[in-house]
Amino acid sequence: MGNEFKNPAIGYLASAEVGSSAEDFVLQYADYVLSAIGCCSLPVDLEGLANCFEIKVRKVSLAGQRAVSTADLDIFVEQDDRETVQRYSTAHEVIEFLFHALSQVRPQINRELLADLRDHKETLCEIGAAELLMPMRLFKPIVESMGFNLNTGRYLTSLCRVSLTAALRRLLDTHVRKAVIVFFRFGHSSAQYVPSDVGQGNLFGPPNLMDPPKKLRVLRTFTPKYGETGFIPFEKSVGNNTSIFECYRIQSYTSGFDDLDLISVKGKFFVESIPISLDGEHIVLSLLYLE
Amino acid sequence: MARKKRERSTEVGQRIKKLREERKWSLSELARQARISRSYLYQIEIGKSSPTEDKLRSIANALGVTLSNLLEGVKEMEIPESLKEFAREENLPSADIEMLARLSYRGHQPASVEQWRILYRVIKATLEPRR
Repeated sequence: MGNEFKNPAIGYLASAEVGSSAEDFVLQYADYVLSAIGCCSLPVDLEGLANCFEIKVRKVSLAGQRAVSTADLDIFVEQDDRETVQRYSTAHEVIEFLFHALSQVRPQINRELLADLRDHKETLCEIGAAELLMPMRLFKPIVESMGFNLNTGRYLTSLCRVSLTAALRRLLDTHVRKAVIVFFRFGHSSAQYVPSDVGQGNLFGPPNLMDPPKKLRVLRTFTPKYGETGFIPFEKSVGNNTSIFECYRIQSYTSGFDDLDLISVKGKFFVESIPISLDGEHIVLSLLYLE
Repeated sequence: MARKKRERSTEVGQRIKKLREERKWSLSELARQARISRSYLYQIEIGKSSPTEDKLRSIANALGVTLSNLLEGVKEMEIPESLKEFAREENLPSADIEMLARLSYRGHQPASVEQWRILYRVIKATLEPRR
């Protein structure tokens, strides 16, 4: 049997429903793969999945790439990445096999769907990888029973063996509650003039005394896949009297109602925050509840 | 049978000519890169000669396409310029060019010759002992 017939996507394409959206098409493929290995609990056994389809996963130095896969079902993941990242990369490549298969067989799907699949391949592979590692049918009941909060997110991180960000993004997609994830970093905005950056002092003193005060500013935002959550601009700051800032100051979990002005997110909101490290820098990860 | 073979040779020849002209290469240029004589290449292009697989591979490599591109006339596989350059530098066999061109990534495709070289070495070093 040639490798192309072991590609799980070949079997899926033979039975795939015509007329799905590109996202549904990918999610159904993930579900097809999970059913094939009889997955009914978390964490998803990726090693078992690889064995089932004779997929070889190798950890190598990829010099800048996260993961690479060949049409012969060989997956290479970056050896220096954390295990959670490697698992996500592996899942991403298993979804890529669907795209390998699309170029090997001529599936009975319409051109628009095919174009959609090809135009949004990377995004769809990330969505498919999330479903593969955190199947919504298993993930959502846990959120409903434990509650929609950071603690549940952390529990699911360790249960699903994924990164905290991946688990929390999945948490948002359950839509059990309306929320957004915001990363904050302490610093100046890129538009600010910072004398110490250019070593430019003046008559009133050395440059560092002339610097504007640093603030806790939006670094990155994650919103749920569906539903309007509004736009939160990059580098918008929050006050030093918020629980978010307190989290940064004490480097520990905080929660509370904060008065925020993040353009679309304006008013008093319940916020949970935890300190994390990103490339050695202290960052605050906050879950903002929008209702 | 002979007629079918002739038609196939003509089709392959036409594909080679089309790909050569797309690259704005003369017959001499492609012949030089593929290490065959100009007159032989001309015979191939007009379908008067049926090249061996080895010769076709040389032509495919020179053009930076795969052998199946030439033989089957499928839509030319998109091969990035940096990969073409790397393939020319290392004189890669068309099967390896095809393998590299068909790779999928989590993230971005390599954008430089050096990145392709690193990736190629890793993959070859891992897969060679198995094959």
